[in-house]
Order: sequence, then structure tokens, then C-alpha cells
Amino acid sequence: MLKTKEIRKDFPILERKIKGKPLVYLDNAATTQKPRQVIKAITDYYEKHNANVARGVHSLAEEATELYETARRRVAKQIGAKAEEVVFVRNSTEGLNLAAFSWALNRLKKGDTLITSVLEHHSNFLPWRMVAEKTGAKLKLVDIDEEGRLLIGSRQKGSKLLYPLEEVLDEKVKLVALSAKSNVTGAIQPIAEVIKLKEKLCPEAVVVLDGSQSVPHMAIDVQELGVDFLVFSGHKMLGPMGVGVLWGRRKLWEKMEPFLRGGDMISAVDIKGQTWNRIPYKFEAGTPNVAGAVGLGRAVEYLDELGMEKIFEHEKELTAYTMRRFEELKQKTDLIEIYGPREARERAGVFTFNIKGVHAHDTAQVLDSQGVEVRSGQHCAGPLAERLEIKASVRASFYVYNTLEEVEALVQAVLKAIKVFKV
Amino acid sequence: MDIYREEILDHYKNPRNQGKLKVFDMEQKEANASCGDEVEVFIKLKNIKNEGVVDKIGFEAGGCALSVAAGSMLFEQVVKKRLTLKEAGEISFKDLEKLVGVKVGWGRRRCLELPLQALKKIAQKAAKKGGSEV
Repeated sequence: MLKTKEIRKDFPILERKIKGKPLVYLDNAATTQKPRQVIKAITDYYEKHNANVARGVHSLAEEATELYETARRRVAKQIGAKAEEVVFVRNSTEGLNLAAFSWALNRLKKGDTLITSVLEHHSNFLPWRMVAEKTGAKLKLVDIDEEGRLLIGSRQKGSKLLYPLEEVLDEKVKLVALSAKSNVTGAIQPIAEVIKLKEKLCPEAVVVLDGSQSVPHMAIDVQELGVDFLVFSGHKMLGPMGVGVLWGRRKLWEKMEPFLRGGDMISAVDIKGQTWNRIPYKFEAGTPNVAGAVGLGRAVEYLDELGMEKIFEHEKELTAYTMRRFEELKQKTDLIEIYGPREARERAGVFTFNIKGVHAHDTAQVLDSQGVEVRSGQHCAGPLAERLEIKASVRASFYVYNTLEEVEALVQAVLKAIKVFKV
Repeated sequence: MDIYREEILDHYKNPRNQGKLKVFDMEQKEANASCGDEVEVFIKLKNIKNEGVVDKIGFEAGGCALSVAAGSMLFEQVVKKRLTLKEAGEISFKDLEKLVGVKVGWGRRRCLELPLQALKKIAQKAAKKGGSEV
């Protein structure tokens, strides 16, 4: 386990009480808390170095620009990428829309196929549906197995609009958009296997990876992985809200039309025309969220000091313990439904369940009364809810500062909910 | 827990006026797609011309305790107070909060609102048809 006693001292919010009880924050898949070090980096920026970037000759502008570009380099290093290929956006959602508008919308046409999956978050689903509708390309959805992992081969019975991956990959496929880890079931997806298949069946297709739930929790190297675009959000990895990353291969960026147009993404504008700036600036129009990027850079450093492998192990242990305790509850009461992979090592830090006979919102409400913060609902994944036939579920998700004691608090709160509803 | 006090749990477990009406004049289905709360409301009006007073309400609810309990308490009041459909449609969210006796945050607002939305839509439909004549 990580040295949580020390780590928790870095997070001021963890001192808080909720309804008179100590805060047990288990909603990290939604957003994460920030260590003092990140908050200080942002405050320092505004207190000492704030200026608009890349436009001024003056010292303050130089300092701000240096801090911004240092953050970019730091983030690039973390994912095994070149700095010029890292574009700062507002969040994963914006990154995915950028890829959809700037890359896909201009290239796909009738007769082409786009692939995504039934387990995607709406942000990695709706942009592709839009592209299909506007271009006439066909959108095909990959199905999942009973544990919430992408179905590579052999069709399951009863799924007409959903396909195994092997069935849908062919030379017509131009884009494949998937996530590395489900925000609902926590299932870690077989991306390496997907890339291998893609190289075999449709080597020209571009792969967009939604790393929102994976980049904060495990090591990644985009060169090794073989994807073409990767998105992730700063706020899910100890960074501030309002900053995220879209990484893409240089040869793709260079051929793409800009997304937003305006200041800073041009080299020159005159009365008749303009020339675009070089990458990544071509895709960063207007004043960026410099403070946010600086905060994210510091967050990446914090995570790196803990070690991504150690973070993954820590969450695996927490999840395994949670699974054990909930299985015990299940045996004792026959009231617990658990969703997703049975093995803790197949799921990273996300635990989704229901108390039978109690609506997820009601469960979450009782948990909140005990200071335990979880999420309830469909978790922005409507197609998945339909596929799994779960109208709403309760999700607990872990991060670097969570402890086994907090898992116990969750279990006790669940027992309280069972009592309140007398199921 | 205030929000789940005995009265609310009672209305959740034993909703008054539960079940589809055999004979009804109007019906409305409402759902919160994002969490699976659903309600279907059936209304029978009194057969007195131009009065439009609600005679019977039946509802089928599948959802969280708040939405079911709120529906049960709301419809019970409408029938008890012999409200017209127009009056029922004018019940505000604040009235409902007072009736149910809870204060909800943004996260649960739509749960409470669900049965009220159904009622308001029925009242609107009736008003469009030109008063209480159905």
C-alpha cells in the first residue's frame, strides 16, 4: 500500500467533515482532490509569474511561457510523447470533440465505418455519432462480455446492434474510438490486443483512446501502445479542473484543419488570408489555461514521485479488499449486486454495486449521511446501462489517498442503508 | 435520517393510490432517463360538467424512495382536497417540498419533481383541450 498517512497530510480537503462525520471521498472517477503542492503551484503562478504567453517580449511573459511549456514537456514525458504533439484542451470531452471535428469530420464519408463500443462514456460516443450522421459513414458498436470487457471474438446471443471486434474490423474502418478502462465497471480493456487486430485487419484506421480513467491510475507509453490519439483530463489526476490533454501523432496533426480559430494559432494574418501556426499551437487558439497547465504539470510530478506502478498496486489492493467485504455482505444478506470483473486485478480502482430493493440514489443518500461520498446513476454511460440492464448503480472509486479503513466505513454505511430501508 | 423518516419510508413501501386505473380520462408517463426513475399517472375526473375535479388518481412508479413517496403524498393530497385539474397543475415545487417535508439538493431535485411534472403535463394537456372537458 502507499504511505497514505503521509499522503493524506498533503490534501487539505480530507480534514473536512460531512454531516458531522469524517469525509470518506470515494468519487475519484468523477474528480480527484488536489494536494497542497498543486494548489501552491497555481497560486504561485498567479502571485508571481502571471502574464499572457507567447505574445510578449517582456520578462513576465517569458516566465509565464517558460512555465507553460515546461508543464507541456512534463506531461509529454509522462505519456512517452514529444512535447509538440501534446495539445492542451479543457478536458477529455473537448479533446475528443477536437479529434472528431478536426480529423474525422473532414475525412470520413459514406461507405466508411467508425467503430466505438457500448461501454463508452457519452463524451467518447456522441462526437462519433455526430460524425456518422454528418458524413453518412456507418457507426458500429463493439459489444462487451459479461464482465464488461470488450468482446474481441465470438458473438454473444441476443445482441443485434452490437458486434464482437473481429466482426467489424475491415478495410472500410477509418476510425476506432475506445477507452482504456470503463468508468462504470472498472474493467481494464485489452487495448494491445485491439491494436494488434487493427494492424492486421485495417492498418490505415486511426485509433482514438479515451484515457480519462486509465492515465491517472497506471503507466502509459503512447509509442509502445500504438494508438494515434489519446485524451485525458487534469482534474481526474490531482490536477485542476479546466485543463486536459489531447495527444496525437505529428503526421496527423500536420494534416488536420484547426478546430478553433483565433489568436495564437496563426503565424500571420493579413487582409486576404492567413497561415496556421506550427503544432501544437495550431490547435490552441486564444489565451490558454496557463495556471491549469502549470497545476497539471505539478500533479504529474506528484504522481511520478509516488510511482504509477505503486499507485496501481495500491488501488488493486483497495479494490480486492472491497470485493472481499462485499462478497461477505452478499453471503450474509443476499442483498448485494456487484457489477464488472470478478478479479480485482482486471479492474482498477472502480467498484460498482447495488443494494437489491434500494434505488442507487437512495443508497448514495444514506452513504452521504455517513460522510461516504459515492456516485449514483448511469455515470454518463446510457448505452452501457441499456446493455447491462441496470437502470442505476452506485459507484465507489479509489485513488492515492484512500485507505482500507475508508473501505470499512463504506461497508458500515451500506449496512446502515440496508437497515434504513429494512430490505 | 430526515429524508428517510418513517412517513416517507411508509409512502415508499405502501404508496397510496398505487396501480393503474381501470377507467381513466388522462394519463402521463414521466421518466428521468439518467437514473431510471419512472412514473405513470392515470387521472379520472368527476363526471360533473365543467367542474374538472379529480375523482381518482392511480400511479405506477418505479424509482427511488423520494420519487415514489412524493408521488404518493402528492396524489393523496390532490384527491383529499378535491382539487380541480387546473389547481393540481398549479402546485409548485416549493409546495411539494413542504408537503413531503424535505429539502433536497440539486442532485435529488428531479426525483421529487417527477410526479409533479406528470401532474402538470396532464393539466396542460387538459387546458389545451379547452378546459376540463375530455
